[in-house]
Amino acid sequence: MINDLRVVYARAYVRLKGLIREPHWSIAEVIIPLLSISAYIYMYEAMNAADHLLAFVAIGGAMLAFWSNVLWGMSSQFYWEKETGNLTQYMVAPISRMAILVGMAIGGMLNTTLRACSIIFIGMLLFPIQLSLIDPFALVIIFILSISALYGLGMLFASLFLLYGREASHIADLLQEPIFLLSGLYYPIFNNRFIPDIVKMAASIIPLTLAIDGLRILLVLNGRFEDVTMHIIGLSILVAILLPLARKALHKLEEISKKEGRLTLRWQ
Amino acid sequence: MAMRIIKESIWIGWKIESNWTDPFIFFSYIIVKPLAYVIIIGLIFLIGSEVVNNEYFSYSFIGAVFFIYPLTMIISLGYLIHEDRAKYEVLKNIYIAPNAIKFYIIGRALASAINASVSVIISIVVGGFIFSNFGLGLDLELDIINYLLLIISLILGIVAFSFMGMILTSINLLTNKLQFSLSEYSSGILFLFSGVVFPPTMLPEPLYLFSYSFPTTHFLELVRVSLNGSFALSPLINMIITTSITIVISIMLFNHADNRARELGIIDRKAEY
Repeated sequence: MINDLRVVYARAYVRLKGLIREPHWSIAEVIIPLLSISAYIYMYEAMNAADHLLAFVAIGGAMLAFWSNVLWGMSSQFYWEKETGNLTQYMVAPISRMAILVGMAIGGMLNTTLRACSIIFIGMLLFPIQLSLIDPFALVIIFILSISALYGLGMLFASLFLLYGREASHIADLLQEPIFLLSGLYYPIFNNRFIPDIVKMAASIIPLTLAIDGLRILLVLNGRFEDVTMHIIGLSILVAILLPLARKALHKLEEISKKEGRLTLRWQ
Repeated sequence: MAMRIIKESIWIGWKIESNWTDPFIFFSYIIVKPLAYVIIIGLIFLIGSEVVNNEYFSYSFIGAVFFIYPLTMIISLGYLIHEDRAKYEVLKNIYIAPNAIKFYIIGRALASAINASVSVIISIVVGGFIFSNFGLGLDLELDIINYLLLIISLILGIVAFSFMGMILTSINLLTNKLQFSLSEYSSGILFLFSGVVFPPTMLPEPLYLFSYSFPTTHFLELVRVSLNGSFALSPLINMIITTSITIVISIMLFNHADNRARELGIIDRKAEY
């Protein structure tokens, strides 16, 4: 247990240290989402859309930072580690692989939370976006469940990506726009008459969808705990499924990778 | 010789971009991503506008669809040096071939343009069909399109975006840490400042003027004009001017980066093991 915690700390430390060592990456991860957020806000303004939609875009943009981190900082991480030669060290070290993933997730959560807050703050400075909070307790619950579910999914993907070679970055790339579409990054998804119910149900499987919608209800629409009960239940179910599934997938796929000799295979 | 290098690099570009998976998944990939992106634009339009305004919808939709060209080409060229240097380790071999590097980059840009063309055609057909069911028409009539102007716009656009991509390759020759952020910055800046989904006049005054320095702004304007079946000289002249400036700047930058990289001995420098 102590050994696992040390692994978690060691891997999280790398993530946090990266904030200082490569500050331009952190700056990029704030500015890049802001560019697309600004474009979509201008688009809404050009249509004289309701003000709350501008705030919706800002919340979606902030959560985009988490999704990007889940995709590129978690899912593809073992692939990068393989490319940079670290994966071999992880595999020969007498440590829990799950602890490595948890460390990556904790480090990623902390620095991405900082970036997401910066995105919202700068967005509020640049555009007429107003946020208000009535129920901080519900916000904390939704936020913790959201990032747990998101990083649980990231851990699951990281295990699956162990099998991938060159296709890893393409698959991660493919999980961008279609997920933005389904999760309602720039528009409401559930309170939307243009989206069929079946699509809404399918979209609920993605933690990002419930996370964004819950946060919008609490931060933009002055919602309370009872308004996000379904989101809390949905996210709790996702956490309960994704974390054990990630653990199982990691063991299984590590085994397959070892059998097929893919763990150190580059240039596939 | 130059044509042969370009032809071969288009072929290499096509192979690298497509053979990571089977053809079915690859075609799904080049269709699903851009299609999702244009559907997002359409949904924003449906949700944000109380009154259906087909003219503005066409503006945003056409802008978003044809922005796939600069997006695909710039992202592809933004990773090119990193991939060839660190991942495939072939950059040194390309350098050894006489006068190959610039034509190789152009060829790789053209390979991306081919992929982008497939995405554009599918997006415009499928996206247009989806949103016509919601009363949003594209106002596109095949018999009134100014095809000559459309072809000229596409040729000029592809040339401009190839050389814009060459600017990124110049920067990446001198660094091995910016390949990801540089592509994302460039595509994000172009998306915001090129009048893709909203008119550039919506931007505050100095930024609004800044948007007209990009070939992408004039490219999208020209495409919109040609699809309406009309002709406008001013965006065509602006497109030619900005494309010419882009070509000059990118060649100067590339030559400088190339010389500097040779002096520093970093042409085959790797950040990975």
